[in-house]
Amino acid sequence: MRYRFALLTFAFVVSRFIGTIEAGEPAPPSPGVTISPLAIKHATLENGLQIYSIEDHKSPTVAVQVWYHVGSKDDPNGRSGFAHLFEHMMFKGNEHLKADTFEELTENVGGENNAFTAADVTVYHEVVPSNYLEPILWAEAERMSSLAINDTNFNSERDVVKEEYRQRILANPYGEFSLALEQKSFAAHPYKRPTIGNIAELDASQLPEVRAFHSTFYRPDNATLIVVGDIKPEELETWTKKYFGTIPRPSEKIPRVSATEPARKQDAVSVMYSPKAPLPAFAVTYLAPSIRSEDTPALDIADAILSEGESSRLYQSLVYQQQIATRVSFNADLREDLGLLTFRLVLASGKSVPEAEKALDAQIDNILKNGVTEDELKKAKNQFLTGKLRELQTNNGKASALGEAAVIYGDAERINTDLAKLQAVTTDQVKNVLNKYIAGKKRVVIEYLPDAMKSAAAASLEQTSK
Amino acid sequence: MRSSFIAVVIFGVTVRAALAISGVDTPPPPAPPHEINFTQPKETKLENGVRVIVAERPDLPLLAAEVVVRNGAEIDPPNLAGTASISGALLTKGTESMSAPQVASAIESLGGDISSGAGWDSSTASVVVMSDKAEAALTILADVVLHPAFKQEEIDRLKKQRLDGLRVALQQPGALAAFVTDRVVFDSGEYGHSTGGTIETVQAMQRDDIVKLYKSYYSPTNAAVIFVGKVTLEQGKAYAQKYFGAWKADATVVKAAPPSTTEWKPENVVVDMPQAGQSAVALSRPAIKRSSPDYYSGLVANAALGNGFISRLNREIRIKRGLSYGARSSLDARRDTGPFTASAQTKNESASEVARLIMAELKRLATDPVQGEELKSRQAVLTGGYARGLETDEGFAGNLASLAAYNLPLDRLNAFIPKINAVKTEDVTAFVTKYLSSTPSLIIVGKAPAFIDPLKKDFPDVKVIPQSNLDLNRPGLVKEK
Repeated sequence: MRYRFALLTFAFVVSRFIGTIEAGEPAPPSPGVTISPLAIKHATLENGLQIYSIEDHKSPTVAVQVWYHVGSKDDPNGRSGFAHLFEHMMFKGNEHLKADTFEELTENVGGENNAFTAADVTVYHEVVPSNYLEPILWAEAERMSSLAINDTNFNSERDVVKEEYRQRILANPYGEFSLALEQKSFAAHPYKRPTIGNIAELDASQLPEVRAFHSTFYRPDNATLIVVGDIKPEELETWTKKYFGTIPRPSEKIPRVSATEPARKQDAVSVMYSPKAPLPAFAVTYLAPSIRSEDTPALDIADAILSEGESSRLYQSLVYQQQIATRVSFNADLREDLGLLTFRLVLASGKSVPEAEKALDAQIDNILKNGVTEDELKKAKNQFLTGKLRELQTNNGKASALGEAAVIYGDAERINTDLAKLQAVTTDQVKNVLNKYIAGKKRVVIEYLPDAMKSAAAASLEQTSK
Repeated sequence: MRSSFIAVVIFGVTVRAALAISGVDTPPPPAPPHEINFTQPKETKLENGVRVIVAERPDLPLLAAEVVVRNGAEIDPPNLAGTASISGALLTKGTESMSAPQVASAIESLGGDISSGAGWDSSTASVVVMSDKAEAALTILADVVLHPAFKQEEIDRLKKQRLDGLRVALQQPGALAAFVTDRVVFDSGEYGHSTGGTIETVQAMQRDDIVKLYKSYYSPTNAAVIFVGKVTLEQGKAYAQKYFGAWKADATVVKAAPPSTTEWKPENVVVDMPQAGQSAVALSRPAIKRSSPDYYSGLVANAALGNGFISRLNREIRIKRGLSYGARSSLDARRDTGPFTASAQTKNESASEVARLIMAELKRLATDPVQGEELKSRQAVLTGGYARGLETDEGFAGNLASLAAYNLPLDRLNAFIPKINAVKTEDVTAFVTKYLSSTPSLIIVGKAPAFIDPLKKDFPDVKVIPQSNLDLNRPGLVKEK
C-alpha cells in the first residue's frame, strides 16, 4: 500500500537490473507536504561502472554526471592541486574528441557543462537537450577511456589553473585564510592540502604524471554515472553498454588513502598576517567524524540551528545583538574519511579578537550545556524540507543529490531516506553530538589579522621585553 | 485548473558534421529535438492599483512570492548613493509590529527565507516557502513591504554592516573595478554611482532620506505582486487582495527627471592597487535601453563576444593563451541606456595584453560577422540559459518581476526564444556598428607598475590614480585637493 505521507516512507524503487529494493520503515506523519520518492534505477556494468538514473519528463532536458572517486586527497606527493589540474585536462580531448567537443555538445546546443574537484571526488556534469543524450554519453565514455594531452595544451591549461588560483586566493582578501583552515586543522591526513594547491607545485607537475593519474584513477570501476531527466530507460541501457561497456577494467587495485588523522593532543593557535584583510578574522576547528557516521544528521541539524539564516544562534548573538562580528558561520564540514566542525568569524570594525573569541566561546558553552530548543529543532527540520524541495526543482539538482548519496555516502538510497533521518533527530541528540566532538576536545584556532596589527603586536612585545 | 501552454522548440541546433571523425567511436548524431513548454502567466489588478501576476506550476508543493517596485538605485538622491539599496534591505529589519529578529525567526521557522533589496531599476522583496505555509509567509511579506519601521537602531546596525562589507569589497580588484566602471561610463548620470553606496555616502545617510525614498516610490500603483508555484489564479488573486488590498499610496510617484546626458566620451583609467593579487581589466561603454528594438540583436552580439566557454573572448584569452580563469561580456539593458562591458581578471603582468586582446575582439565583432554555426550556437546559449532560468519557481518569478519592472507585456516570457532565434547575421552586425563601433573606456584595477609601460603603447592617454587617492563619489574619481 502507499503511505499517505510519501515524504517519510520513500517506498523504493524498482530497478530493472538488480531487482526491487525493499521499502524502509514506515515513518511518522510529515508536516503537511508530501515529496514523492524518487524512482531510482541502478545497474552495474561488467567493468564495474555504477549507473543510477531517474526518469522525469517534466522538461526536455537531461542531466548527466560522472563522479570519479578521486579527489584532492589523492594528489601525488609534492603535487598539491594535481587532481584539480587534472580535471581541467579532461576537457582537452583525445583521438576522437576534439578540445571543443564538450562545448559543441552542450553550450552550442543550449546546454551547459562544467566540473569540480573536491577532497574526495571529481565530478563532471552536463545538462543537455534530451535529444543529445546519446552523443554526451559517447563523449563521457571517450574521455574515460583515454586522453591525448600534449605539452602545448598542458602548459596553457596549467596557466589557466594558476589564474584560477590567483582569482580565488590572491585577489580575495580572505583567500589565504580559507587555505589555512585545512592546512592548520589536519595534522596527518591529506585533507590538509587544499584542493586548489599552490603555484610552485602546479609548476612542478609534468605531462607523464597526467597520463599516470588517468590510468590509475579514471577507470570504470572507480566511476559512477548519473542520468536524470527526459530519458527512455531502454535507450539508456543500450547506450551505456555500447559506449561505456567496452572500456576495460584494469587489474591493478585502486590506491586509497590510508593515512589516519591522530586525535589532537593539545590546543593550537596559528597567527597569520595579511596586507589585504581590512578586518581581522579567526576560525576555531574541532575534528569531526566521517560523513558516513550515524552522527551526521544531528550534526547537520546543529549546523542549521547555529548558523542557517538570520534567526540562527550565532547570527543573532554575535552579528545582531553584540555586533561583534560582521559575518559568522558554523559548518559541519563532513567528508568521507573524517571532517571538521568549523566556527568562522570576521570581526566588525573596532572589535578585538580576544573579545570576539570570548563571545563565541560563550555561545559554544551555552549550546553544550543547555542544548537546543524544540522550536529551533522544528525550524531546522522545516529548513531542510524546503531545501530538499528546492533541490528537486531541476534535473541537475536531483542528479547532484543522487551522486552525493551514491558516492560520498556510499548509498544511493539516502537520497530518499536522509530527510526521514533528519526529521527523526531529537534535541538530546543534537546536544549529545556537539558534546561528543567539542566538549573537552582539543581545538585549533587560526587568526588572520591585518598587517597593521603585526606592528602593533611587535611594538607591545618590544615594550614588555624592555 | 490547468493553465494554457505555449509550445516552443528551443533545441533545434544540430552538431557540426566535423565531429564525425572516422574511427572506432564516432559520435552518434542527436535525436530530433523535444519541445519545451513554459506556463503562461496570468494577471489581474487590485482596486488600489497593485498588479497581480500568477504562474501555476503545481509539480512541487512550493510557492515563490515576490513584490516588485518599479524603481531602484537609479533614483538615489545626488550624493546619497545606496539609499534605495539600504531602504530595500531595511524592509526585513523590522515592521511596526515585529522586530528584525522576529521577522527572521517567523519566516525561517516556516522553513522559508525572505530577502529584500534594490537593483538599478527596481526594488524587490521575496519569499520562497512550502505551499502549505503560504498564508503565514505572505503575512510576513506584506508586513515588511507595507509597514517597515525603519528604526534608528536598525539603520545604524545595517549601516555598520554595509560599511564593513564595502571595506572588504574595496580590497578586491574585481569589485573595485566594477565601482570605477560605473563612474567612468556614466559620470554624474543616474547610473554613475555605486548601487550599494560608498563609505562616505553610507555614513552620510539619515533616516529621513530612507523614509522619504520609501514613501515616494513604494506605492501600490508602482508595484506588482507575483506568485509562482503551487497556486491557482483564484488563490493568487485572493492572496493579493487579502495581504496587499489595504496598501495605500502615501504620495504619487514623481520620478525625478534623469540628469541630462552630455555626449559620451571614452576615458581610460588605471587604479594602482599595490597589494592586488591580480588585475581586473574591463572595457565598457553605454549601449541600449531595455525597451530598444535592438535588444535581442544585442544579446546575440554579446553572446558571441563573451557568453560561454567558447565565446570569442574565452577562445583568445583563456583557451589559446591561458591568461585568465574566464573572460566575459555583458549587455545590461536598463530603463535608460545601460552599459556594455567586457572583462577578465589576469595576473598583473598580463593586464596590458588582456586589454589589447579584449579591444581587438570588440573590433573583430564588426569585421568578422557572427554567422553560420557560430550564430546558431550563441542563439542556443541564450535560449538554453533562459529555459534553465525558468526551471525553478524563484527563477520564474524573477523573470516576471523583471518584465513587470519595465512594464513589458507578459507574453514576452514566451516570446524570448523565438525572438532570439529570429536574429540574423545582419542584425548583429548592425547592432555592433550602431552601438559598439566607437572606442570604449578602459578600466584596470591592479598593480600598475607591472603593466603600465606596455599599456601606454596601446592607450597613451591613460590616467593612473593611486588607490589611496581614489574618490568614487566624484566624476573624475580623484580626491579633492
